[in-house]
Amino acid sequence: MRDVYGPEISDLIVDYDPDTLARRPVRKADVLGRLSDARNVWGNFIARGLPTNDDGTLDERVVDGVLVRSHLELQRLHEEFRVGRTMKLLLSPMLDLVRASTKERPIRVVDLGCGLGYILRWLAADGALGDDIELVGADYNRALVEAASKLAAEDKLRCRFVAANAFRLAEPAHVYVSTGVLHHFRGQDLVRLFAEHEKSPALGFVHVDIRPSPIAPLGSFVFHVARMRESLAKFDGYWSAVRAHTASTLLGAIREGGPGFATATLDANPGIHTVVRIFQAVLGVRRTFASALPGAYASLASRLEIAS
Amino acid sequence: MTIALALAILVLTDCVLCGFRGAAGREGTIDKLPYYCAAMLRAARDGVVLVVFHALVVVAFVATATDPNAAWATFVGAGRVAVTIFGVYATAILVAFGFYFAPIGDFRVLTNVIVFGPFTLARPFVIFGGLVTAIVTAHDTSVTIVGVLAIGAMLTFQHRIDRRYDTRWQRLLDTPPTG
Repeated sequence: MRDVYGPEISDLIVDYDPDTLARRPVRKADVLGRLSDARNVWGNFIARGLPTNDDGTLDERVVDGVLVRSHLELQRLHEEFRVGRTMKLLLSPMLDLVRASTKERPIRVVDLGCGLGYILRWLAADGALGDDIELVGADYNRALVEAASKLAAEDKLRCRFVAANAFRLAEPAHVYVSTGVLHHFRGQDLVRLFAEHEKSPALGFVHVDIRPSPIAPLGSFVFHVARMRESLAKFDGYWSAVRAHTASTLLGAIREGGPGFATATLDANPGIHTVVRIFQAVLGVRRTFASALPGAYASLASRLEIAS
Repeated sequence: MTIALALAILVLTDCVLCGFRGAAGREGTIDKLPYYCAAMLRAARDGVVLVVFHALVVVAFVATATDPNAAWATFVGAGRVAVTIFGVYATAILVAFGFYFAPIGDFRVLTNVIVFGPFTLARPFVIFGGLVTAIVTAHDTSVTIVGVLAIGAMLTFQHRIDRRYDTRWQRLLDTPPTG
């Protein structure tokens, strides 16, 4: 199925071998071609400014710099909108369910596509999840992972970051989390993402992402243009709101790819709070303890919808 | 003197907020309170320099005028216009801060999306509009010179503050690029 919205710039300017995670050179002409195909004039304009090597491939060090700066600005957005608190709110009941269903310790929370690892670092600094929790961030981008590790070390935080496929870790996750990642997976890629959850031994997941709404693109545009300096961050941030997945799309992908999970959504239909609840979450637990899901999240009952 | 004081307070408040904005989105550590405080203090110090410089220029114009009392009155009149325009803008922002720091998370988001974002975008237009209106109202060469100096100083202030933090991210990369 064709993605009518087209990609974000950050989807195009880095490429990795999915098996070895080796970085593959990216030709600028290919990036511009993909953006032109999507009739993305703004994105095309920004990508034209990226410097290349003599062979026409993008300068990887410059790309890494752009991504680090953009992720720092993204972290600011997450700070402003208290996404760390939202994740804690959703993760704490999930971890109680997991504690009750397995004797394995530590319980490993893996942040897939962690970027600079802000959410895990915030959770580690907050310290409320418990000493039996191990926080691991995984991302393909080695530069972001190294930056996340440096930031965690500066704050002396108990969390670690690895350049790896989150589903191929030697010590697998008990719970997968992500923030602002799901909308990067389109069509069957989204289904495959949840199929990976299904194949893994993970007992649950919490994924937070932008909630689509008629006013989200305008609000996102104003916020990003006003607050961000990096052109890529301005465009990708705005475009994320445009192409954010609806809850029904996410739940459909989970039903198809990860049928072994019972699911719920948070803030998918916030009613009069639509202007202020700009994020939504989809969460899932293995069906063996699905009956415990409503009770575990009773304190969020007014915002939670049990899906299946 | 009240108008001059009010104008100085408005300028310093704006400079402090410029300091916060300049530092925001540049630092990845979790506890940023000392970082933001330092950024705002540094910007406030720059703001004091700015205010003192413009005050000295005004004093020089008044002192060398053929009628110092009339010259001062002209500056006060122009300042009143600027204070009125900037005051409305500043009041709206201060009210928004009241909501922002209320212990209700939704208010924080609301002020961010509806007030702070658009008002940040509007800042250069408010500065330009306020000072041009003051200049046009005063219809005086000395006020025009001080007003133009102030427009230049205030419209470039945020950019100059931003540049302090331009390379801060580089410590996060082993081999930082130059681009």
